[in-house]
Amino acid sequence: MKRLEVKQREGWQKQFEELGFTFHSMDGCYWSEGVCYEFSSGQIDYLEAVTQELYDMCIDAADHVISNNLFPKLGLDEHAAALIKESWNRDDISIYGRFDFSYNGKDQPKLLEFNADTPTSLYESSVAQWVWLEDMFPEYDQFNSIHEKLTESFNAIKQKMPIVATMYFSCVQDMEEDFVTVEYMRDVASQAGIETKHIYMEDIGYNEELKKFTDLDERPVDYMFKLYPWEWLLADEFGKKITPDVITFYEPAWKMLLSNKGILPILWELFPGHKNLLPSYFDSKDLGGNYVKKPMLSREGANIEFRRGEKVITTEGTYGDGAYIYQAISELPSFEGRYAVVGSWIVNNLACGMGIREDESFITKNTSNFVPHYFR
Amino acid sequence: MIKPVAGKVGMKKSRKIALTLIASACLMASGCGDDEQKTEKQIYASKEACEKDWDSKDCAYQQDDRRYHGPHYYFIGGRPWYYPHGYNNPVETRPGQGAYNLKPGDTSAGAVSRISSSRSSSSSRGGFGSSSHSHGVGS
Repeated sequence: MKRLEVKQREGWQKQFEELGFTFHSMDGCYWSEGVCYEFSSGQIDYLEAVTQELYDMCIDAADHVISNNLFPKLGLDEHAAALIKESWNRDDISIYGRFDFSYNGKDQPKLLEFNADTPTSLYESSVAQWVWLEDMFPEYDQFNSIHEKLTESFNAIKQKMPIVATMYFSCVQDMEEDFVTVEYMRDVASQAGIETKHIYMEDIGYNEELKKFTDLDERPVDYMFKLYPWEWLLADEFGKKITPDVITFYEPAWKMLLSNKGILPILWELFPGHKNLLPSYFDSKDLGGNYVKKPMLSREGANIEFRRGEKVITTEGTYGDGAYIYQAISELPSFEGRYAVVGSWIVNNLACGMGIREDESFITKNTSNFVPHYFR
Repeated sequence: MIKPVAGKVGMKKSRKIALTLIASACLMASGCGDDEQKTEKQIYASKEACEKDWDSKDCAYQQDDRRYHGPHYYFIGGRPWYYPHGYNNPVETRPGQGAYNLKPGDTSAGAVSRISSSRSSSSSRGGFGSSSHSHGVGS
């Protein structure tokens, strides 16, 4: 695993914009043109195997929570538990998720967290870096069959939908990155033969007479891909109206278990000492004075406390009111002064791709840069 | 939950990603891809007239207009569908059930009027999205 400086492609911004990747320079610089990471084939094979193994372990952990009614441990109420159990029992299909690893190319990859509900950087991982590879290193390869696996996911979903049904694709208004991600998913679903429509979360209606969610034309919304976290869905005013017989969401409700950072101590409890897990607990006493404290429900590196003895570093955010988990520290590798996190994708239940984010801080945030990769 | 089968996933050098929607000019435009589609229902003077067109469970007496209302149906691909068996089993209305032969402006033989619902007619809105105001969505 090496960080390399490479030439910047002429006109790359325009090329990306024509592909719909319009947020390549959000916050000043998001896509890192001119640098990349090189991996060996063996490193990629190993990351793939680890990702697959961890996903299988996550499925076991979800089953453990459901079978032992551990929902309160994850802060999930009866309504959430009922939705989770129903979606689990009827095998609602999970489309995607992204594991974040601390990995330096030599030591074992360590799982930092699993972004199982609303993972970002999908389009750049699937499409943008592939276009970059074809321009820059057509002779090499990339850990990336994300697009194909997404198509397979939507093909599987289509088999579970009625012939005439429409799938809605939704995100909140005025979020360009989210809109592009949702439109990308809608594109893939359309190619799988699913009738699709876009609707913003704020525009979704609820018809009391029909007991249905509706679009702006009063048509029932029966199937929806939402780039909107489950915990927010349930906290919103319409949340109480969500029942399994009213609407089917993707990601399904059972992914609430895996997007909750409470799954990390549960994984450690079920697979103690596993080479790719970090010791994680619901309290800090077994970690001494060195740990990372994370809210069970938080995103984009918000409200993290990094404690090493007396030295404490915290990030700001709006998630600080709920419960926390405590995880052993795993230093992110630093390349040329940049801390890198490997985001390893699971799509249609299979490990299938990777994207790298890097930051000048060792806490990856929504402003961290995306860096393409290849392997040889 | 059926556990996934782990397997070797190959990477490909010959991949062609075909995108049709995302690069189109409708990016960020409001109402992108919307069709003008409506929800309709038939209004009947008598229970018998309604039940001639629909299942009896779908005919409801409405106190406010003292008439019998058939179920809502939806136009998908220009054809009327409704949901007698739950949300995931839409049924195209059949001969003998009034909506099947309807054309714009028609009512079924026994119906005295038709109500078309369109944009923001009877749903309450704004019940989702409020949690995003203080947080970022992604993870």
